[in-house]
Amino acid sequence: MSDVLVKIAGLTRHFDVSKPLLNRVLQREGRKILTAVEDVNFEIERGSTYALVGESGSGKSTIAKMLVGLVQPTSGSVLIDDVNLASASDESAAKLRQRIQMIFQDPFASLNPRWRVREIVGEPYAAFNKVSTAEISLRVDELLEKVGMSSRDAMKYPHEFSGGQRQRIGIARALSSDPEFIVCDEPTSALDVSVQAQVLNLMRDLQSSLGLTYLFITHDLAVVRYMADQVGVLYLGRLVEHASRVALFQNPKHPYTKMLLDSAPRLDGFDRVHESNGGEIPDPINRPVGCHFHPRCEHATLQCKSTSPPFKRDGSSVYACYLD
Amino acid sequence: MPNSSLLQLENLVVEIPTRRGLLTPVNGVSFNVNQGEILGVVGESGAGKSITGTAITGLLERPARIAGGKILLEGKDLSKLSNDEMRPIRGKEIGAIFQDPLTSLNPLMTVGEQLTETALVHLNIQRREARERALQALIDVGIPAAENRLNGYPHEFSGGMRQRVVIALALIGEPKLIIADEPTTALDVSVQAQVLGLLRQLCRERNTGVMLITHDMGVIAETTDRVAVLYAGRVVEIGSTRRVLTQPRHPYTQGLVAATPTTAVSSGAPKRLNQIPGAMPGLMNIPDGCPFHPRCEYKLPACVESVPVLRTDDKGTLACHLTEGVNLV
Repeated sequence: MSDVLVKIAGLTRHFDVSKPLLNRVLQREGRKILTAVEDVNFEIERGSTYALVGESGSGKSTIAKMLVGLVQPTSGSVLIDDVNLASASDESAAKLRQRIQMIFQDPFASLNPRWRVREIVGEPYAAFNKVSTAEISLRVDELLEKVGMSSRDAMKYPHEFSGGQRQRIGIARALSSDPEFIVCDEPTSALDVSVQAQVLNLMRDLQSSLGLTYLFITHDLAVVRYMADQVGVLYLGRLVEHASRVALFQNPKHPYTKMLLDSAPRLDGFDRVHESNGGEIPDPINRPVGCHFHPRCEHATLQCKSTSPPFKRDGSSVYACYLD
Repeated sequence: MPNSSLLQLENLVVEIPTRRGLLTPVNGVSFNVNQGEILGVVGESGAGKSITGTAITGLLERPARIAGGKILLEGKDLSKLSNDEMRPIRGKEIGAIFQDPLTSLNPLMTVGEQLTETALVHLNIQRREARERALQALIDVGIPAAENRLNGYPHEFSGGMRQRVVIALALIGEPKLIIADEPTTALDVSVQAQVLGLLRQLCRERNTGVMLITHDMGVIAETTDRVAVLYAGRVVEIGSTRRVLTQPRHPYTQGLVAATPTTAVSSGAPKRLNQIPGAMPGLMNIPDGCPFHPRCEYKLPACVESVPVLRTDDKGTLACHLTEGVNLV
């Protein structure tokens, strides 16, 4: 049996960013639709880490929100263990939600400043289980120890902790309902490097001891290299390349992936001159026709400018480009 | 002392008196920036790198104040100057580039007006020439169709283009020194590479010295000539960028380099990231002795008792009681 936990098919999300009706009538403007995510397909195997990489406006956070059910897809589906969160009955949706958790980017904004750590970490557990206060305390102590904190911290408030410790609290909260699948939206981009290393190592340790499945969203390719098994590269809402970690870093196929890899600053890149000098991400409301990347691509042909390329497979890589 | 030294910090101390006691975010920082050189200042949040930059530009906000040391720009001490005396120096002698381009530009003025006004204030020229210089400045930073863009407002520019405008503004007064505080942190990587390349190229051409403040070791490696590593308000190590990153001597620098993930290709499963235990101390509780000692695995009794002095030898500048630095594992 192929052990797929998460299956995403044709996932699409539009946002209506039109002005109010009266303004549209007076200013003779039409509706404006922002396509944040367009026809995204991928699968995540149980116990593995799938990384979604992209720059701002690529739709990575929107995908994360659709996966946990915070945003409804316009079309397409998210299947977790063959259950569709959007169309499931209340009862099975509630069961499913218990198995999905999220870790957020900003450890300062994602913890309630008026709650003690005990309440923050204990809440998901209490919400999904009929348990006594004593059981919750036990569970909280156990979780805090798991993320490298002490049970004494349970009575403190979030402001008493540093960024890294707060992110540990966020991880403990995510683990609280005993989930299988955790969506991590830029979990370390607000942290300093030495602390980022602590949190990334912790996340990997937890994955192997608890058998967790991660969707790891980031803009930082270097972090992807440490965390991912499979990598998907997003550009303006579309997946442009999907490959195993090794294939992506050793043999990137799509010109955008190559550009991202070339642009990432390297520790050993003394006096390196970057090859790429190709523009910026276009406005997601008026995306280029054809391959979205063509205005920045040095290999762009007439075909690239008119129709979007289909996916092709090469080894473990799947990519959308007309180039060979 | 080499006469090419443009900026010299000598034991700079910045204090912030608060109701709960005196904070010292910058505690005896010394380094120099030479002409035409890019000096990287690297450290994690709370290291005091931004406050050092703010102190040099004379933009410290009360109650923060310079409590000691010297800021010598071509031999002239800026630390004693009043705000009125600093005004002609900012922009003319020292240019500044900050992290968020949208907050450093005036949203109500066109880009052309901002550039022209800055040129008029700092250079002794006529409006017509200032206008020409503004155009040239936009062309120099690689903004396409610069002539039309002069009449654009900042919100009409993309993030990378805005930061190019900020660079143009910083350079138009022909300063000798530029303080760039996390100039690309708000940008996407593909744009970051372009903007850093531009900054490096322009400063080389004009022999402008740059103090580049960043937390990103990769940016340091690719952009700077020398680097100063800050920790809890003190310099722990200074040296040529290549030497500091390939053979770091201070335990903190070593930890920082080892903790940085890289995209360098290797086929095997990635190693665990090296992690430094703990976190940077808050300003209220900086430990006695070497501020890094609670996190240092090579701690000696001396490290708890006294602050190591910044010393220069043939391999670079280091503040560590382990005189030879630590051997690389």
